[in-house]
Amino acid sequence: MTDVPDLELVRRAATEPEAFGLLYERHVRRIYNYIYYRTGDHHDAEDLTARVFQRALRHVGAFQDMGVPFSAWLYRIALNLVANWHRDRSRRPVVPLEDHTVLTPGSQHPESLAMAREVGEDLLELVRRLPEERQQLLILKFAERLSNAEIGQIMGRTEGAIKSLYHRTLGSLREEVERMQAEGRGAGLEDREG
Amino acid sequence: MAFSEEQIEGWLQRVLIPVEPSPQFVNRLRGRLVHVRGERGANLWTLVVVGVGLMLIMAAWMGLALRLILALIGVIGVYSHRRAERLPSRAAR
Repeated sequence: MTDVPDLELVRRAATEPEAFGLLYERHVRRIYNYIYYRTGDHHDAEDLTARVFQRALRHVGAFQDMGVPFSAWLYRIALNLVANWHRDRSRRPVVPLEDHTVLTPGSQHPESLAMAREVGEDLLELVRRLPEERQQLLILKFAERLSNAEIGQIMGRTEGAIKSLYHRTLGSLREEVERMQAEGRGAGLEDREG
Repeated sequence: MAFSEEQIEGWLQRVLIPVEPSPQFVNRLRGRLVHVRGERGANLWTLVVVGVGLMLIMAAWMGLALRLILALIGVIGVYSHRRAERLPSRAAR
């Protein structure tokens, strides 16, 4: 049953708990990853991830194949819940770098660990200052490794619009880095130039 | 100092690394979701059993009520019949 496509599992999930369990296993890590970067806290990420799947379980029977994959449907639930979470808290997310580096399996090498800490602090601060949709885009692109087309399906935009937004985002990040350096901050970024 | 988009992309790739939830959380949530689904199933069956039970009780109650009404009508009928029988005999006296 592991090679059954998502849509088939979604069809079965309304009546078979095992089918929903498989969908959960396939997507829980990515949804958690996205929420973690948007909230900056593991406990909040766990709480919101649980809510995403509880809501998905309640409404999976109503899911209709309109050309949008099930994963995009899940991300949209996550996007809405995270937006509500930010509205409730009315504060910017803070990503604790200590936790971040410890819990990332790809950064176990001491050199990459040090690099992530050095460069990460300055860059994450800049990413956190971006408007919400630009943060979403960067997290989906880099932390989730999704293509522009997939991001477009999640954010309800065309692939071209995502590409354009991405370049605008990079441009504004570059300006921010340069401004930060002009103010004498962002030493970590400067060291990593080239 | 000018930076290129490629440099910014390189930094983002190194900073925004996929983060894994703890296996305990994944298992706990899976169990909770299956439990919710199980509870929902149980609730549905409970509803069906309670519904059918109520219908049976109502049918039994209606049957009893109908029998009581019929018995009452019978008693009234017997009483009226006896009374009607007595009235002509009094008149004859």
